[in-house]
Amino acid sequence: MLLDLMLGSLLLLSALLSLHSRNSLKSGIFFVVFGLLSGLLWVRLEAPDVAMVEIVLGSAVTSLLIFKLIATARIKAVKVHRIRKFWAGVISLAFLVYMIPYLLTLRKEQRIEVLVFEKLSMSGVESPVTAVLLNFRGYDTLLEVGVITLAVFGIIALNKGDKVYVWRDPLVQSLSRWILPMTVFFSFYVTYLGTFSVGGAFQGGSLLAGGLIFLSLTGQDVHIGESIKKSLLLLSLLVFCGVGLMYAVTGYGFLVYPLPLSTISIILIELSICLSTALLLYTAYRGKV
Amino acid sequence: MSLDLGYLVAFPILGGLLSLIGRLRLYAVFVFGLLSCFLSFYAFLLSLKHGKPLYQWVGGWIPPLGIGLRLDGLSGFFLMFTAVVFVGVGVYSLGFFKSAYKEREEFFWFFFFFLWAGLNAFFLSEDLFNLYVSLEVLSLTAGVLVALPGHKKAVRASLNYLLLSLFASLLYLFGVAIIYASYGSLSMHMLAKSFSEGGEFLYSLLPLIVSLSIKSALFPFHFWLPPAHSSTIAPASALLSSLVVKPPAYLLLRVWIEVFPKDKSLEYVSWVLGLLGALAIFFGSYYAIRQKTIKMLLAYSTVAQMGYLFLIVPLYYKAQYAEMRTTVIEGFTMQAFSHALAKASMFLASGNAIYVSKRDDISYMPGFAHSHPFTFFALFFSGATLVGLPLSGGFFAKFLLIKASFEVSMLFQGVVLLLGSLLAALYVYPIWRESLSFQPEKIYHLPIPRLMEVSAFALGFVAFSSGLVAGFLLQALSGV
Repeated sequence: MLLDLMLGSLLLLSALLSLHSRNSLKSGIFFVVFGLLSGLLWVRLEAPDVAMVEIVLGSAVTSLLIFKLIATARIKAVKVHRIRKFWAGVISLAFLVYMIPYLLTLRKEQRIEVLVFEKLSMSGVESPVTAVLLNFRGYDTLLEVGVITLAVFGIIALNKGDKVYVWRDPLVQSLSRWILPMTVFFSFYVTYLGTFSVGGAFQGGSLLAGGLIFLSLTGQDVHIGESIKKSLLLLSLLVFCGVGLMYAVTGYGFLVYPLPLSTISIILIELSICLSTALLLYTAYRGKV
Repeated sequence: MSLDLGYLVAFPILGGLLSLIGRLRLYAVFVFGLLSCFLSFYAFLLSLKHGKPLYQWVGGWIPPLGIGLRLDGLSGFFLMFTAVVFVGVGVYSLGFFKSAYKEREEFFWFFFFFLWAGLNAFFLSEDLFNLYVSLEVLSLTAGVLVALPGHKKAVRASLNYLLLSLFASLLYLFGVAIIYASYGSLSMHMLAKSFSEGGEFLYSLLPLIVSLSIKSALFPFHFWLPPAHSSTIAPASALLSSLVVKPPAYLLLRVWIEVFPKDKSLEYVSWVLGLLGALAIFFGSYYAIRQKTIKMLLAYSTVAQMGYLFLIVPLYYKAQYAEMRTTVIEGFTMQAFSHALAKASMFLASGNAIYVSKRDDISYMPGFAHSHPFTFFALFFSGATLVGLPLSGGFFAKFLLIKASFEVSMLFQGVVLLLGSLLAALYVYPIWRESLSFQPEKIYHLPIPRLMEVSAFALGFVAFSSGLVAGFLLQALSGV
């Protein structure tokens, strides 16, 4: 209880500091702290999968994007109009007031957790989160993978400058030699872990992306051809759609995995999502293929 | 005879992916475009034949665990006209990218197919969270399409649109979270059973309705639309203005007639939406009349035409127990259909005008009637549909809606519908006047690529003549 209170108040404090500091670098750092703390909050809420993504994406990758923006656009401080701040505050407050009567009526019942655990043995994986993401509601995940791919190709299509931000520091250079192989290994391990425990393709992929972005910071690049890289970016959607269509054509139905083949199908999709997500985030960071 | 509804989403996605890879890109565009179109038409025919909704549980999991897809008269019809617009715009783009924006073509097709997939997914889905994901696909694609020309104006419009629609998405998600927390399900047909009068779902109404109105540019939230839809290239404008604003209104119709129970507070909400719709018609038309450039005029006209889809929300409410529910649904669908085709045709024709005169101003509009008859007739037919001249699709839509509103004695709706037609005539008139003018400096003999002329004409012609075959097209809607 005390821990939760402390976490909650620290979270609020970091959000306030991030919003209020005049210096944009300081504001960015507090935003990273905010991401880290909300990751810890997810751990407290017994959602370790969300926590992993939140920490890797919300604090590590996002912070790199923010720092890149500050460094390349040379933004010293972000000015926000007082009036806008005022209206944002008023609207949020009004919304809070609107929600209070609802929160008082909230009751805990009619959950479908029971149903998830009941059908878990028929999903082909042992982890309930992976079962929901890739089997029970796999269609949502297919579209979500589409959203990520779309966003990154939007960046590629619209990006003009091709300067890549490099952090010239001997420490970074030598550190990368130690950290990178471990990151690659660990990210595949996390992906594999997703089939029976906490972990999964998005977590593994964003870890791998973190490693790749670190590589990019040292002034290096992944040395594969542009067309191969492009196909790797699209791999997850191709595999996901392909698997779904394969079962549709053979008469099971779109994304209906027959029980004996479900584990292998899910692992195949997970691996492709891990690879593509990593490369997509890496490409988003670099701004070009 | 059955059709796996997953094909309707998977094939456009595959088309988008293959349009990026390799040397056979344009062949992939061609094959997958035709395939997706064929599938949509097949789905439409199935919905005509069956008369009652077809459900498919994706992955074989029944809700609340899995996601349901639903094909009925309404979604079949929307799938069909989406395909018609996409084919028209696709054919136009084949000609368009030969002359301009060559470097953008590679990515255009990718977003073109993803938009199609997103729309198909949206129209088929009956799961509130899945609808959220499809909305995300739509707004991201739309955001990129707005910024596609790459100039400053387009990028700024796109950023405004993206930030606003992100905000709207979060609100929608919030509303869905409230529903899920209270009812433990996201599937619309299950929620229809568990919603009761005065239930907790009323709390989700505010976030849901505000977010859907932002996404479809209802009156006080319409300010993002004109810059976003007018600053991009013609085929992208056509897709955005004719299709991307429709899904939220469609969802509103769906939940109103299928999910929401009979409740007094819903009637007030419906009247608020109806009034905002009326204001959208008046203000949208007023600003459209005052515009100096053709694309801004068309964008404001979209604001006005979307107003009709909200004006009739009070009719949905009444339609819950009156037998003329079918009439309202038919009017709604016909209005969405004729506006989509006519607006796409108008935007494509405006692209032709810019192609020959290199300017966007209405006063510089070429005298098409004397040099390019196809483009002239595209403007004529689509303008007539927007106004609602007799026999056109727009006429039929307004006829049905006016009939319905007089039957339940809602004179307000009927009068606004009639006034809206008059205002539409006022903003369509300058386009007709300029394209008929025969001053020598306004007649250009520069040939426009055949594909660009024919596709604009075909869409306008179909929009106009659909009024004649509306009875056939709409026969599946009685079973919704």
